[in-house]
Amino acid sequence: MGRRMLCLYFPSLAMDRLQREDPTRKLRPFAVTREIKGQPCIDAVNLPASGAGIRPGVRLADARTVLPELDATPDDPIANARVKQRFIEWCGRYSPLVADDGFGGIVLDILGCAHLFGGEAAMLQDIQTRIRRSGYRLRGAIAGTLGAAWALARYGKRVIVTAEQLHDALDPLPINALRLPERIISELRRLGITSIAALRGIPRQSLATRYGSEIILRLDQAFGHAEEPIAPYRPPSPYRALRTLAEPVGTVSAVQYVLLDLLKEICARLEREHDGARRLNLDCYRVDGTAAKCCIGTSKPVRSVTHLMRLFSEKLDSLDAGFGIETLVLSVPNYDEFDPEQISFPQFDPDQGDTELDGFIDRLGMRLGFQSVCRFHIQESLLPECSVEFQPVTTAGIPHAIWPDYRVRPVCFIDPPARIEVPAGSSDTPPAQFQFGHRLHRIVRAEGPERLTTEWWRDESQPWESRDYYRVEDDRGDRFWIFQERHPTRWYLRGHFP
Amino acid sequence: MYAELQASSNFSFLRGASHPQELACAAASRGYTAIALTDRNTLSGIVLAHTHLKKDPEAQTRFVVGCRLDLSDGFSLLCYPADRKAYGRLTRLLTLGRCRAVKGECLLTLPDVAGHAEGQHFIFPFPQVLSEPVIQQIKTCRDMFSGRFYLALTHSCRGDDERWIRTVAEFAGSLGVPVVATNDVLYHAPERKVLQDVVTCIRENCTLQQAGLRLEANAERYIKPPEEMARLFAAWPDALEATLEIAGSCRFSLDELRYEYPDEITEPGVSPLEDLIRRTWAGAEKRYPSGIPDNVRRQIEHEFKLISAREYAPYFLTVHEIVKFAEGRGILHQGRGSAGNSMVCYCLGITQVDPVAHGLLFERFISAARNEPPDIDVDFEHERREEVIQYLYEKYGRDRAGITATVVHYRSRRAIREVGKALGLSEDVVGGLSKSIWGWSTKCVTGDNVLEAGLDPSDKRLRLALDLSRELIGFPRHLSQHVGGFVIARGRLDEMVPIENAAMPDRTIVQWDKNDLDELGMMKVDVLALGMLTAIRKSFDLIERHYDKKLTLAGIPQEDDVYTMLQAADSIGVFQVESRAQQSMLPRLKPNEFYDLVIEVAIVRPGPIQGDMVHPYLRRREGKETVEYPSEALRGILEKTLGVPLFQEQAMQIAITGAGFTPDEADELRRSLATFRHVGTISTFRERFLKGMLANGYPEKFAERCFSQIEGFGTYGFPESHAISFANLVYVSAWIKYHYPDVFCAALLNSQPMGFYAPAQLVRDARDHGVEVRPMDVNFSDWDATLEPAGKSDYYALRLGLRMAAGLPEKDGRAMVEARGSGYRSPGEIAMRVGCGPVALNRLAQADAFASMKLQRRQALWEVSALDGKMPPLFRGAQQHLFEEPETCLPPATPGQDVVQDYQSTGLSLRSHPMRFLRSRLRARRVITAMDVRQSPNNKMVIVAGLVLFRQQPLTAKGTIFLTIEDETGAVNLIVWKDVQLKYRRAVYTGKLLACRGAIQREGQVLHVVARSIWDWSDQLRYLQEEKNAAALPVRSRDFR
Repeated sequence: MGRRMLCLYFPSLAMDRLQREDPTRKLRPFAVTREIKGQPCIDAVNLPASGAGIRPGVRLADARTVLPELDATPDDPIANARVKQRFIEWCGRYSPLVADDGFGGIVLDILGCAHLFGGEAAMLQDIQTRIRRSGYRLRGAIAGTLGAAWALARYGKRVIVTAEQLHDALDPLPINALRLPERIISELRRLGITSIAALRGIPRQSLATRYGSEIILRLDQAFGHAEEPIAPYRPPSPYRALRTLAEPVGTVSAVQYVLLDLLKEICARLEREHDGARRLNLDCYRVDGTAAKCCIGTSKPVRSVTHLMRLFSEKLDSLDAGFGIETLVLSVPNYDEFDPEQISFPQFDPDQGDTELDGFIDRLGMRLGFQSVCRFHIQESLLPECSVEFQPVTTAGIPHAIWPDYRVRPVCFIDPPARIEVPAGSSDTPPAQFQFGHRLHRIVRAEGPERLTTEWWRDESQPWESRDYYRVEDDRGDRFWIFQERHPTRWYLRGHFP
Repeated sequence: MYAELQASSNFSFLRGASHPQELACAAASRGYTAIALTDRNTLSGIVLAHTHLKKDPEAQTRFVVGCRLDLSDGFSLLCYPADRKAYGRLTRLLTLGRCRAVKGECLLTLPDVAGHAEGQHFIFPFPQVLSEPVIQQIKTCRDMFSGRFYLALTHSCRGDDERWIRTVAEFAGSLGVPVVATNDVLYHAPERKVLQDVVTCIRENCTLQQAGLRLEANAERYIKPPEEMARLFAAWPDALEATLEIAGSCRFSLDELRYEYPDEITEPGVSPLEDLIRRTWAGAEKRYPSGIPDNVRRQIEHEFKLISAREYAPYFLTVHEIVKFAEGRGILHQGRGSAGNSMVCYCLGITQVDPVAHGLLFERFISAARNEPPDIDVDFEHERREEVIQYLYEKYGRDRAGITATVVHYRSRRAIREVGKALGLSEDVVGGLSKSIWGWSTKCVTGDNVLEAGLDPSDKRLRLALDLSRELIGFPRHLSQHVGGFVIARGRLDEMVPIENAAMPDRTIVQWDKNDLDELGMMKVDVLALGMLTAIRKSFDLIERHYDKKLTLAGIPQEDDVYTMLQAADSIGVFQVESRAQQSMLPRLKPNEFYDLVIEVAIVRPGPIQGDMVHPYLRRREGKETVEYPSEALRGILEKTLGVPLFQEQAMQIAITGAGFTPDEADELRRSLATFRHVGTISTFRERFLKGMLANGYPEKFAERCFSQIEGFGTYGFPESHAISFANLVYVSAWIKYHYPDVFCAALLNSQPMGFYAPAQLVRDARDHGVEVRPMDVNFSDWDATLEPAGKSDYYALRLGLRMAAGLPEKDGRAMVEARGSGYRSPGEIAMRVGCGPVALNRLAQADAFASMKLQRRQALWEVSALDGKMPPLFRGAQQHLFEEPETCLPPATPGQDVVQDYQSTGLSLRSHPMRFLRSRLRARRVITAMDVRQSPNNKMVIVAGLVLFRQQPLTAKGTIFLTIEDETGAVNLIVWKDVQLKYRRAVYTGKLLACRGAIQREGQVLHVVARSIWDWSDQLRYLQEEKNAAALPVRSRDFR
């Protein structure tokens, strides 16, 4: 008994994906583009666009000369691959052996599966109906070899072909159906060899000397004279560890003991697979069939047993063991890539304190919620109100902006700035005194101005202007940051210095 | 009293935000004592600033030459030469740094500077921090340049200025270094801060939002009033005093540069003039072997008077030297330019047009009023110009000869693209905007363009982008090399101007462009490349070899038959008059003497077209309108051209005679139109011109037409002297085409790429003239096209050369011809004997070049593909015989497939025209042939179809597109008005095979089809191959704008 292979082909995966994302794209001329030599070129078009005469292959700019309202989006191979991956996983319902065929489609080994769905025709029909319903165009074909099914899905008229019909079905197809490199195809075409039948008319030896053995291999694969194994997709196993205890336990220390064991196991695997945990669940099944749950989260990927243990122990105190716990399951529902780290000498490691700080931040986050633990980030902006941002620690990375020393900024920033009253004086000089609320501040020392220009591009309606900032100290020794707006002259208090 | 010593113009690319002349102007109006330009490692901007101040009679401000030296260890020094000698050292220093580095960069170290430091004053820019390296650097500089070294103090309003300036000043005091105040100027007025931010973003390749601290914090770096500077530096009067002190001791002015002609050109002991006179008379005797006519003698003597008065003899000798070299090498050349059509040049062999014989007595060949060197451009064969260039470098040395720079400016498309990016507009918007601008326009993007791009012109951000791009247009972007302007000096050129590397290997350029050199009275010779000269030289060679006639550019007889041919617009391949516009002009202008060709060349140019001068001229020529002159004064100027100004000189003279311009002003007007230097002055010129014309009693309409013509000339100038030289080449090439169409076609094919037509049309034209064209074949073809004896024809048969095979390396092709001997019997033999790879043979097989071995294209490809590229060459041929291959039967190609593959591999087919295969289909749709069109009556509605040859949208045609399509019987010209274009946009712009329904329009012999509807039938081309999924016919139209 030969094999039976089912090939699926998505003629317009990217276009379908993008039209699904935004269904209004179906209604107007829309194209998917790909960059060729630095120029966006049309890769695929939808119906309204092709109706207007736009064809794939032309430069986007040229297409826009013809159809200025053409909407276009660059292709995203990663998103396409994700869609295909989803379909591969979904096809697991038809056959345990599903694979990416390596040439843009999906292949299912359906030997012994088809009858479960009412035969090959019904099975193919079922797959096609379901996938098409989700908005993706699809062609499928079934044949005795992967090569033949692939060819038929793309170029064939018939879609289900038995071993006896194989030759008749393949012969009229163009040589493009053989999964050959573009170079060989165009050379063969130049010789006038355009169909598989014509190709089979040429002595194999002559073909091999000229174009290498690949052409022979592909022919043989299509006709079943050469083996072509597939590498079926296997879903990755989840991070999960389980302990069933001989005697139920009830104390925190006993649970901790088991947990430590589980963590060691999980962390070892995390390290092996270059991952770090972002969330961990501990499920404790009690003897009476109920379960207690305990979750922790981290601000960064972590695989340190001690770190995770400390986070758990804050939660374990409140764990209700009930009549005793007999099974513990530790799982990692959320994890990120975490590359191995180089171990360095403490004195040379600038981030040395960080592991401790991270631990601290995680503990704070566990208690207060990670959104509440924030830190300051320097924003490279000359506008004082924009030069600092307060961001949750979890939103990755420490920015490495360097702030020039001479641009002194107050510790306490008053936002929005407070109006202060200053007696009229000459410009470019600090005032002698100012009144804020009821208090009059007599200035004894001042430095400035630091003249800053507003960011003129933010508000196009306003012409840009300059503000003069001064550092001043009053007779009580309080130090302020004040600024003057020129037109009209107004003074504001912007901050306090220590 | 204040002198600004630190100012960067926009020649510090993407740093400064003002033109040098704007800085100079602002400094003058603020009453500065002096201003120095300190651009980064360049002196490119100094001539602009210098001449601006010099020409302003009210300016009291002195210009100080300076430069900011950015050293490779991260520090910078401002350098000011005190005198001419020191200036020479500075330019040599910059040359040293520039020639070490790749184009656009400069590599200098402090020891280099020390080696050239004599006579220079240095300023160390105001330090932002006083770190250990900075302190060290200052100490080193103090010890090196003691007494001439200053430390700058700059008040930038950064907050702690007073404290920081005091710190630096005290530090300087402790080292005994004097301080000097500067404002480190980046723009002339604070408003330019906005543009400065934008260029910063362009430089840093970021948007304004991302730019952050890379932007300037405030707008203080402008030319401040001296009182303001005095107030800021009230506590440091020494620093203010020092500005005047440095400006005072750096007295060098660019006026001191005196250009001197090189010595080598004359023999020792003979003055240049004597030498020139001797050479001219010797040349004259050769030109007139039967004795020099009296009028020629008078003309020569008259020219000598002018030349000796202006001391231009060395210039003529310099050009003569170059021409002599080319003659010695057998490189064809021809001179042109205002002085080019003098009798002296004719006698010296610089030009080939006899000015006396053609009645071209040039009284004013040197503008008497302008003290400017004469202008001679020399064209050389385009394939061999490099020899001339390298000869010049070698003869005079790289320190004495250099190519003129061309300052590449921001044009609209680039400007809007860069500004849009900096403002963070999306790629779509920016692309759309720049797309809506035609080609190389320097016009600003307007609201119309915005609408056309489908954007909202009231959008504020967009408006901002438009405004800013308008300001950016005309900013220098980088230096490039001029097409061929050479500066040669007597002494070291690198002591006059810095020399730097160009992008091309073995080319060095000076940092000044042509206008800068003109301003300083430096001489340059234009060494240009011209494809037609190559073709003519190759024609001469072929004629000599096959027809046994020795020809030169000067010795071609004037013949009526040649003019008759041109009158019939039979001009494919002929220099200049082959374009479609020229072809439709020829039957109307009916040239029948040499001067008509001069007019023909000059009339189809943007100048006359824009000035609406073409139709009046034609009417007058045809006798439909009486020839009259606006005034007696203009009669002398316009008589030659029937009262219609057609040449640049005429337009300039109208400005002088008619509108009362001085010759200097007229020249300035012309130049202001050609460059961006005097942005905004055009409208004042226009007013003055019109007023002057009216005051002298000329009709307003005439005045306006003249001015718009001058505007057209500005950018596409075509002076009479150039037209005359070109007309000579027109005649020579037409003469060759008339007498030797076989030679002419071969020479053109061998000089590709050049000219207007692709090889397919050239070959077709030759066949139409009775030349047999034979296909390329490895056993008969040379690398170039050759002539072979052909039975009964009057002409030789043309054998296409291997060069036509797409992708065949020249080296391999030539080797095959070399090793051919008595011929090759199989592709394998070629591989074995020549040692070329299978790729070269594959290209030849695709071009069907193995017919003499009884191998059709497919069979040849099959044979060739069996040759293994990895085998050592010796075995490649033998390998085939190692084992016997079974007979392989390939499907035969259809005629259509053959034609398609011919086009694919050689760009033409001798078998048939692709349209022939479609004819039956086309006939069914009532499509007629180009031949039928020629016989149809005026105004008849017809349908034609053909492959698109050209697509043209001239700037002067108000959006009309001219299409030329071709079928198997000939070409048809289509005119597509704007409204039809909009309706059939896609077909018009992208179709390869177009069908067109329209009315025939005849004007004399000129015939067009005015399109009503146009369809794209490119899909039909696949029927050629009679199969599905076939590759499309690889025809490409040449599109012009």
